[in-house]
Amino acid sequence: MKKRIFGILAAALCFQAAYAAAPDTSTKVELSGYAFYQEGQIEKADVGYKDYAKELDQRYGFMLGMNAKVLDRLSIIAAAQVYMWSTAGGEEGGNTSVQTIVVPKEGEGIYTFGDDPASQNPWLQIALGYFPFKYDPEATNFGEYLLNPRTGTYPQYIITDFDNDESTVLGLRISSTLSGSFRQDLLLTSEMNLQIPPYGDFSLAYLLGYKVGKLLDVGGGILFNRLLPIVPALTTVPTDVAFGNNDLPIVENGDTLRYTKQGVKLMLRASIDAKDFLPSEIASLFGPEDGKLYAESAILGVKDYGVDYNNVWQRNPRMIGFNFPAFRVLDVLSLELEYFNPPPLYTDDLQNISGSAEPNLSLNGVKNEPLDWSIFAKKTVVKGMSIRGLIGKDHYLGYQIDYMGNPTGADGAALMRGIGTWHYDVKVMYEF
Amino acid sequence: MKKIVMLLMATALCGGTSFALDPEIQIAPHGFVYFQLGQFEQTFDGGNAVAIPDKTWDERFDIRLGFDAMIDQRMEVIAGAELPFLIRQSPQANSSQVYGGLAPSQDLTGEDAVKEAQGIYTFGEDPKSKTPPLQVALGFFPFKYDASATNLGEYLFSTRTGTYPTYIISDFDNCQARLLGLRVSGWILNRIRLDMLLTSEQIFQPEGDLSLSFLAGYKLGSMLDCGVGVSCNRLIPVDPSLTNSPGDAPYTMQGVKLMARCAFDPKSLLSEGFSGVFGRQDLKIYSEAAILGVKNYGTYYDSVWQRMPIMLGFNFPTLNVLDVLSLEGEYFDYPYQNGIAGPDSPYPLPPSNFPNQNKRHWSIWAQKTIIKGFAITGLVGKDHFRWVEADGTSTPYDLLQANGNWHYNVRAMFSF
Repeated sequence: MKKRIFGILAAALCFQAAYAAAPDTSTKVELSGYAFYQEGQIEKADVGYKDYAKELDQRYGFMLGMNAKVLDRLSIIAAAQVYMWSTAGGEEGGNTSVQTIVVPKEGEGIYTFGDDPASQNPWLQIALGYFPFKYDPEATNFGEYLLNPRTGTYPQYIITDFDNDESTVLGLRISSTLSGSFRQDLLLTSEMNLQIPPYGDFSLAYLLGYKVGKLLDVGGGILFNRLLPIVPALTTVPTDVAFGNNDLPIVENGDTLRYTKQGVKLMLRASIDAKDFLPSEIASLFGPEDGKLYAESAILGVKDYGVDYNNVWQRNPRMIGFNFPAFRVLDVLSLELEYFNPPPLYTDDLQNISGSAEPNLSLNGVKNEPLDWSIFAKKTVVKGMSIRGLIGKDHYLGYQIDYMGNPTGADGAALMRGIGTWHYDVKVMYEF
Repeated sequence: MKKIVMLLMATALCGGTSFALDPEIQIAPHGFVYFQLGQFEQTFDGGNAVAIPDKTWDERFDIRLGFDAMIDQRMEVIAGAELPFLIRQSPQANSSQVYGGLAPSQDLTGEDAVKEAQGIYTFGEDPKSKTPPLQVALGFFPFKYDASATNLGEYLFSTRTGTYPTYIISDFDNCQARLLGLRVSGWILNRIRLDMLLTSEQIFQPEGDLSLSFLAGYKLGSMLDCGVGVSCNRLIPVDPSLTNSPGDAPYTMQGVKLMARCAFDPKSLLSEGFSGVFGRQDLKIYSEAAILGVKNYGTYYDSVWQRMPIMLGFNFPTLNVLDVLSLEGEYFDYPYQNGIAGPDSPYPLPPSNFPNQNKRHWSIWAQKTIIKGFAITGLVGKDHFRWVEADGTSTPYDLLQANGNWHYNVRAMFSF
């Protein structure tokens, strides 16, 4: 670890040597923010979590941010968000009084290289801090499988959150766009989800994306999960011995094989915009998002090992989505379907993910229904005001969030795995 | 929690008001973002539940949002809040933590969130002068009187030192006090600075006691910077029965602290052409000493020399490669563990487990401004660093007591 830090220092010094002559400008600060009010209900939850059924959830709050242009090439973004939420009703009659939490929303410094520092597609950009990252622009609820903490391995899990279909990560991002259509991202991120220890491990991710006009947008990525563990004995627990089908410990390269939270995740995605085939006078009838067909697939741990992780297809979520033509009545109206078929008793419950890399098994015996779905809609009513809504059976954990704004649910339980479970949410948002 | 929500709302409202409605009020938003890595390489294990094991990883992230509003030429309002986020991963899984923001289950309020909230009024012919004849500030504000100190020193105020009992606290890249109360400052002949502070105790119980402090400083060009100070600790107790509990007699938490400091810059003796080779902070030698309670009494506090920390620092010449590279050493012959025994208690902690090793502390501190708005800061040392828990409590004693104990931190900070 010390070597890595010295490496960062050395890189910073080199960076300084090359770019100390960057032009100086007076700092310009722009304020940004939003306020929102959100209502939803868990119509049907899994048996065992019955108290959540018919539970009415409220969330409201605001965000305040500053974007400071310190130099032509250096921007600093700092933003905090205040959440307030409460729950009422439910079949068990549970109520939660209004809870308040203030969390960092974003905090990063971004340095842009290249001839035009104001370019939307710079040749090279480096960001350091806590920042949102979305690589699949079409995905509205499912997908975005590559980065933690939306997914993990081993054990595999998936988290979704209404109107928050992106990952927010802590670490370093290096991005490059070539010819305006070929984008690469390298991310070194630190694990900091409260419910998924150990903390601080560094993961390395590399993503590629290619755009062919508006017609096609494809991409792929690889993530080395917990590649640099802070405490190796916690990332690979010595007692997590991997057994084979013969109930004997597996020996690999002369050593007992152990389950580990280290692993490799892969991702592929593609989207096609069918409007590109239409005559322009007909295409103009549609909204910019209408008619798009998109898909994403991932493998949450490529390595098969032990009796618990012996089939890679059980760690392979697949999502397909379609934006229905809304003819500018709505900004977007998408239907997304996901197929994810882990062994029957596997669960996305965060509460079961302790320090171990062993399988995450359901505590209540509910079997996982592999098909999930959601319908998402958004309408910009006037400039600065929009309404968003979702209905679906997804990987929603409930309204409760942790210190960093990550969804955790009341007890980290995955609420919707069985047939017939679903929830809905509606949000009104004002933003500037 | 309510304080921070209100402060953020006020920031939003003031931002909108100033930019859109009242052009006479000039508002400058400010803020920072930092990402920090560190490790406790070797620590003193006191057998306490809050002990930090060797090799504990210390990672932090923080953002600050604030504004500096000039209401008119003389009246300035500064407010700023921070949202710290801390990751501690020890070799033992059950003593690891992640916490931050402001949540119902935490007590990260006050000093951890609201970092500055003050109004400043400047008197004199030139209100924009950096050395006005009189300036009055009221609120919660940072205060640093020893410009050269980078980690140790700054002994006078109770957020960093106390008496009785005697304690010293240091914090990475935060070598200053944060005080709640009144500051009255004045400059004479642009060389002599005088400060009077009436401040309210915010860190240790009993809280709310008022302390009165006076400081005087003298600058002779860039060559010499000297100063002295006195602080009457808890001079006006809110509840005398807590500060001077009859059951603790003759001990009391009231006391008088004294401080003297001096910094010398030999570059001023060099020819202009030669001194230009060095950075502004290079070669400075500086020192600070304090007496944390001048009164000898009882069996615990019978020698004033045991309550006298002495710090000596030197800035190595880095020839503009770094902004600062300082080495600081501290001698503090306190026979007890450096800390407080508990709330409302004037008694010291038990004797140090390493009485001969706990006298000497040191740190090496470096900072490099890479470009405007971005700097990297690092520290390695055996100092008085404390770990703050999610409930707001901190480790009650020095984590770094024995020879060989040390920790390091590196911080990348973007600020505007």
